Amino acid sequence: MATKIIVDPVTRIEGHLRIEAILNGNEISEAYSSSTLFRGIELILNGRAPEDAGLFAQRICGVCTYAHYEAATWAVENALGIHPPKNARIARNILKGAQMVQDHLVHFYQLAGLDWVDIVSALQADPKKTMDLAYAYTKTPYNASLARFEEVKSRLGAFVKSGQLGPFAGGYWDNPSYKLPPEGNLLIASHYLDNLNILRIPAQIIAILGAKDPHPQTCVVGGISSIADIINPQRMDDILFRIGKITDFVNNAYIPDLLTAAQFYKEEAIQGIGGGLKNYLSYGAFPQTDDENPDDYFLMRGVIFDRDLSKVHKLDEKKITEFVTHSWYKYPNEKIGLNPNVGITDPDYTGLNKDGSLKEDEKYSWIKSPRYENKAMEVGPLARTLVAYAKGNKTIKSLVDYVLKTSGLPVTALFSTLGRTAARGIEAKYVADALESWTLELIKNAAVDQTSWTKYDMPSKEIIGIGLDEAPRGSLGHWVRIKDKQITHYQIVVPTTWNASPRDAFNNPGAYEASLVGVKLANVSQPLEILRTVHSFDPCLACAVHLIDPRTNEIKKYKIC
Amino acid sequence: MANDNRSNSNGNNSDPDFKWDPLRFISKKPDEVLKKVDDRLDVLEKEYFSDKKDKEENLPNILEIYGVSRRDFLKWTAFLTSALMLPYIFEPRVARAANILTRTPFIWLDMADCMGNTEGFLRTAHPTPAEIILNYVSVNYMESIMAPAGYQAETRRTETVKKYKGKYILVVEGAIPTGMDGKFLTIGAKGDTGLKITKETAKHAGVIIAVGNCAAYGGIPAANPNPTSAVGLSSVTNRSVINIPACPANPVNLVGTLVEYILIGKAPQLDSLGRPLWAYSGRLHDNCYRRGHFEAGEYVRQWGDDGAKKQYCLYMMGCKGPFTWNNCTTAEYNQDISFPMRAGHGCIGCSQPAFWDRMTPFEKPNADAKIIIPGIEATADEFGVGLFAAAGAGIAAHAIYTGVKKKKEHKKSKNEKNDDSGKNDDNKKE
Repeated sequence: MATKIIVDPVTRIEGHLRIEAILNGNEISEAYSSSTLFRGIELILNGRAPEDAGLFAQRICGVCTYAHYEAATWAVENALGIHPPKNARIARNILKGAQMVQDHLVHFYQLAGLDWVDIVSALQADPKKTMDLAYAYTKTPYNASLARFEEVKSRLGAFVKSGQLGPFAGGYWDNPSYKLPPEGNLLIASHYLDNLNILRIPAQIIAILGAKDPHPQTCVVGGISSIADIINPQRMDDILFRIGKITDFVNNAYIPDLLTAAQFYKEEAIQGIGGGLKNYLSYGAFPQTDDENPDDYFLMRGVIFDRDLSKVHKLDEKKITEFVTHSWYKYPNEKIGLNPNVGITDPDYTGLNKDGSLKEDEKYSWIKSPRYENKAMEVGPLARTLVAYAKGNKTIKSLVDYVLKTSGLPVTALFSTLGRTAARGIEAKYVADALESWTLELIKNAAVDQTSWTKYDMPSKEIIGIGLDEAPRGSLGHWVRIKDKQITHYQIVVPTTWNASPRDAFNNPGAYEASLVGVKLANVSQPLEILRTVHSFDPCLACAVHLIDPRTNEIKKYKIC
Repeated sequence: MANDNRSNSNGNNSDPDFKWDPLRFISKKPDEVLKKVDDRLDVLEKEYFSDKKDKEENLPNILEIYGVSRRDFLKWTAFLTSALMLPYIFEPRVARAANILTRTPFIWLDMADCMGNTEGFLRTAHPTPAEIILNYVSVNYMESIMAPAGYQAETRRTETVKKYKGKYILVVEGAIPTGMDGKFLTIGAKGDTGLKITKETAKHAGVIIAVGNCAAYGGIPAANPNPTSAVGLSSVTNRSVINIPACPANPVNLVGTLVEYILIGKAPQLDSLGRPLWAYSGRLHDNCYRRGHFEAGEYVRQWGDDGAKKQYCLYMMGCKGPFTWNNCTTAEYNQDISFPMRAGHGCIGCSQPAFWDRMTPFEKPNADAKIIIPGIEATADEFGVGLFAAAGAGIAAHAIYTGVKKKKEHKKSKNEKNDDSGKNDDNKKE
């Protein structure tokens, strides 16, 4: 019997997302992803000063807040044909690196962690065995001692007894899909709590160079405004000190916890559950040269088709188009996709069915469908890691091989929900390890060169710019046109637009939609596995669940027992 | 433009009776006030704790789980007491209020937002106990961190509303889109609009707080041309709303407001824009550490110039500090790490209504700023009315006088023409 599940709001993400899934028995045969909020920031940007583009665009998202700021600034700089000086380039890399590591940490523990970790089961753990597990993948586990585990266990117990579970209340505890033993749950739950104290540290690094976090305020067109901090040794030392704390946590909590999870969720990865699309796209980011040449980016640029890791294709931004066939927007001709440079944002809301479900054959989302060569692509840490791996990046290759070897997984296991989650951890380590050398480079350079801004003249004639960048969640593109010193056209394609996109003119599903096919639910009244797979993309959008029997259209509600 | 009508008021307090009294609790009858606060705390403690043991062990237990020491907690209560401008005798009471807060039901709604305010909390270190109390303990519904999704999540919200009528704290983040009857934002399997959910949840809340500029005044979704007819929270509910604007709001300001609400059972004193006076009574420009350079006429005139390295005043680079009321310069962001002027960039006025239209271009001084409001296009100084009081004009004049060659002095007289109110009693014009 086919049934339909509606998950709205999807929680523990940024924003508002709905997932509808058609179930055959307990297996998903089709899924639909819908973004349920429209704000129209592209329209709001029209007529504004180009220098303000970054500050406006940044408000698209308070989570990957710095990424939009930088991409917008890059787009305007690209239109002007200028590059920021070395100090600004490195400072921006540190800002974005700190932001990326923080984002991956908050994702693994606070946002996605509860899909893998059963907090209630942790109360059954034996602290001694938990110690063994803590030392399994690192000689120096983070905040691991018998006393600590006993304390976390007893206090969590008191917490649960008092009935005060706060955000843990109403979770899907005891779902058979949770695979970790009680000790694994206790170990990661303990780091979940530790991470709350870690998260502020990258945020403080961002504040030193960026004024505040979220929404930093120093990345000006042509450079960076926080030069007084860059040339102040004490401020730079504050950054170095904090980087050490971050790398310690990544190496001794995040990566070992990831390996622990991999050990128990291995089967799903080998079966390729949640793999989804076979095409991967990365714009690359973190320029390492002063001419900002994409070939030398720290996160590499490239396109992979059909999971073929033997060939990485060169990116051609002209091949990027957006469709609105199933999106609540109007195009003059909806069979053809438009490049963002000539893109149109013209809202056309056609509503939901009477019972509140999506009109799947018509328009059903506020997200457009970006495609590359008319193919749906996955973007994000997995795409970036695969591109770097296929291009033979030594550091990434050794990290990936280490994780696969330790977990006893084949390379193909990367194409799964677990693989995506692992790639994010690998990337967090890759970036965190680079932060220190970037900071030292900045200190060294600022000692002899104090330029922080490239002078430019905003012309009156029309200029066009593109900013192709990588946000924590994937490839981010800003397209801008400027005339008479005003923005006349602005289009943004964000990572979640790629990943959460609805079907296109050829009926190709987007990444979320494709990855949910084949996912089995252990308990059809609990969308735990749906969340696990959707969360692995770290959606930047929110969901509720009810089930509709397509034959009678009767809404069935399931309560938690 | 469907806009919060109060956003046309001019950022400073225009109430003739306005007498901001930092000693508001003890200047009159200290004993009576303290007794009132204590009585209220007693009642709440009875309600939320089963017995004395439960009351005494609750908070230490929670802090311990999250790795916060007793000492850190005491530091935090001291910090918050002083931030609230309360005398030290309130410290133990602030601690009791924090304890009660951990049991007070709490709903956090995300509307047309970017989650920046939530993230601010997730990343706040100062004060850590606040983050725990708000994000991890009493929260009954907060999409960004709660374990359940979908139907189970919605049930948590509707049950909280039913069970705790008139008691729960409601915090709203994000603007409310009212266009197309609110259909620009739908939440839940039935496709209820954000507008409907907000109205329903606000109806029975004990206290309603709009956190961030979007929830307070419409923020960026309401910026011209306001494609979704987004408005601030007070435009969709007839109940009184405490506004904690900024982009994002400083977590300190939200936590302080909640603690004060627990202490006195009502909203703290608000200014004409609905903002708690203890946090929003100071103008950034007046408390800025670069103020001395302003007086001396020393300005940053170009990014990265000598003045930028010496931390000169940013007025010429478009700083909106003179027209913005908040405590950024004293409370700072991310545990006293920094704030925009400290990092060499001007303030963008993000605690003020409609700042996306009234304070832009952000990097041009106000005298040149174009104000884009439907039907009106003028420079800030011409616009004058309801936007900048004498202070604004005076500041522009000072900047021109000290910073620019004499030949530009005619602008000064132009500014003075728009001196429409002159009632600005906290203008520290020299």
